[in-house]
Amino acid sequence: MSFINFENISLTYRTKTQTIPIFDDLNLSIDKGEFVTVYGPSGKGKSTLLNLVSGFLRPDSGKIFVDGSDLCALSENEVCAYRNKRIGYIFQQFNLIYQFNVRDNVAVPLLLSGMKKYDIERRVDELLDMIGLSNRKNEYPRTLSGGEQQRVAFARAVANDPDIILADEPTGNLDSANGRKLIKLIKDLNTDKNITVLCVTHDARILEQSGSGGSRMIDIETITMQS
Amino acid sequence: MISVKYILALWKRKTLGQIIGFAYMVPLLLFVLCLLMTLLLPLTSDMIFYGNASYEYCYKMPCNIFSVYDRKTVPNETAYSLLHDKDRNALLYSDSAVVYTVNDKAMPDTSELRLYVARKDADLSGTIFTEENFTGKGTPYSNKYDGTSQLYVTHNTLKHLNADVGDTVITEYDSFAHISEDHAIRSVIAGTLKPEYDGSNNRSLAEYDKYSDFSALLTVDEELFFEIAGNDLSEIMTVVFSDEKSDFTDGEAQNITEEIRTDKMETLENTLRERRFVTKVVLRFAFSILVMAAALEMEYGFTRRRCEHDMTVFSMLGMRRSSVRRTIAVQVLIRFLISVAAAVLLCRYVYFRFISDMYCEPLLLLFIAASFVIAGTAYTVIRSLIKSLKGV
Repeated sequence: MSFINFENISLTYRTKTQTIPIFDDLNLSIDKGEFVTVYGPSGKGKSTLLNLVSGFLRPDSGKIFVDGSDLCALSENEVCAYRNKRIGYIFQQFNLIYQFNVRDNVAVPLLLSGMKKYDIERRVDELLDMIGLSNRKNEYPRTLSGGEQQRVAFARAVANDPDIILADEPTGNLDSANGRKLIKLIKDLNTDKNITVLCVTHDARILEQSGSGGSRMIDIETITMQS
Repeated sequence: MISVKYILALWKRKTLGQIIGFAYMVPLLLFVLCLLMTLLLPLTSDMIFYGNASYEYCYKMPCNIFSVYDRKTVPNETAYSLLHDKDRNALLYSDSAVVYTVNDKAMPDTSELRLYVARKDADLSGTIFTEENFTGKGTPYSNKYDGTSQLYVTHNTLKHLNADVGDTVITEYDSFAHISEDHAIRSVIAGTLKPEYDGSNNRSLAEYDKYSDFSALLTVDEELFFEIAGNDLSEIMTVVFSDEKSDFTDGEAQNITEEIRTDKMETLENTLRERRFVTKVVLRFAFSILVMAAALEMEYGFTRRRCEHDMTVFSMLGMRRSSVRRTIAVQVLIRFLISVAAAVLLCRYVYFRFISDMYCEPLLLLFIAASFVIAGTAYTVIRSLIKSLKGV
């Protein structure tokens, strides 16, 4: 069995006025340590795919297995723990907590995991060293550039040594130089620690130009059509 | 842990924004508190009065204004002019004297006075009670009453006297009274009165007459009570409390003055039962709690929307839904408590400065409260409509 398995996934968004089918009988497998890039136009379900893997969304039908566990069968607390310890999320908008300084932002997943204060401090220092922002740990996100904010978001995503990195348009708000840096960080992690990366983007060329592209490129329209 | 950190961080930054964010709650709570005080204080003072009163009988006597005087020492004309006097604010009663004042505004001939008396004997004496009569404040004074007297006055009276609750005041009597050799009574200002008008002749310690702008009450030697409220009234309603039924039979009551007649006589127990204190207090508290709950719910909604982004991020990072809810709830509670504290501080000023001496129909207050609720509901409905239209 693959590391991540989507089995006959169907999902429909329903509003008061309309019904939007996203996936209908989707089947997709991703192996451990694979770097998968999902590309395609907006509104086709790329982010939804990530939300399904993170357990944030549940499908209408079908099953999602991650490392053999059926996500749909997990309780709310188990899903939270799974999201906290096994998933690292990188967003296009960085999604930092703007009331927290850099150090506290990185510490959020560690605090949520119940780690001891001393260990948190040690780990945060380690991560800030890694992204080169040790000297700015007491600053607030608004004082950082976009690239720096995304690096903080990256540090936060990998704080708990997750098995899976979910990146939603990670370079969308970055210039090409910063985009390349970020992709390199993700790629290194993927290679060094065998972390599975699922990256979605509306324009795969950006990732290719960044020197990444991933080990597998999936067109979201293809898999939705297939399904 | 993360919740606490987040809440503290919220206050570390953008404090002004935070305060402005829930500033709307302060006037809302201020209104609720003022409403609560308006509704409860008169009842409370009533309850205190009835609780402390050792009288078994209660007489209510409508009478002409000229009747209130010491018939032994004050001729009708004197009492008349006395009530016309420029003096203001307050009234007290002792074993043998009624001391009263009238507002600055001269009381016209056609004016009416709502007067309440609690007393044991039948003698009434009148005197002028003015700011000048309060000769001292907080200074030891020994007389036959020896500090057991209590004075209740309106906030306006307090301001006029430059006194405060707890202050000891000395009231001097004029030459009419002949109460004591030194013509003075030492009393402690035991509280302020919030008048309430209930449109009936029911006696209330803090009953408000819509034509009046003051009221006052004094207990002397824990035996005697007197309250007066009003000017511009042509009749007064005298309520007499007595230990013994025989003290105030119809005939005897009429002996005080020809104009006074006993209108109704009942036991205090019945009076208490009639007034349904507990029910009223419970209902008014329930109403206030309802309004506060609505305010809390509204603030919860606002906070949830304001923190939606951060809470979504926390959820993505593994925070449980219950922790998210708790984080929001604690924020709401903090804001609410700060608002309550601010409202209480403001209420002290606003209520006593502007509201306590202002007559306001309870129905009007309820109408204002209902308007708040309707406006809130309309806001919610319109907001949902706009949201759904945008969704289309």
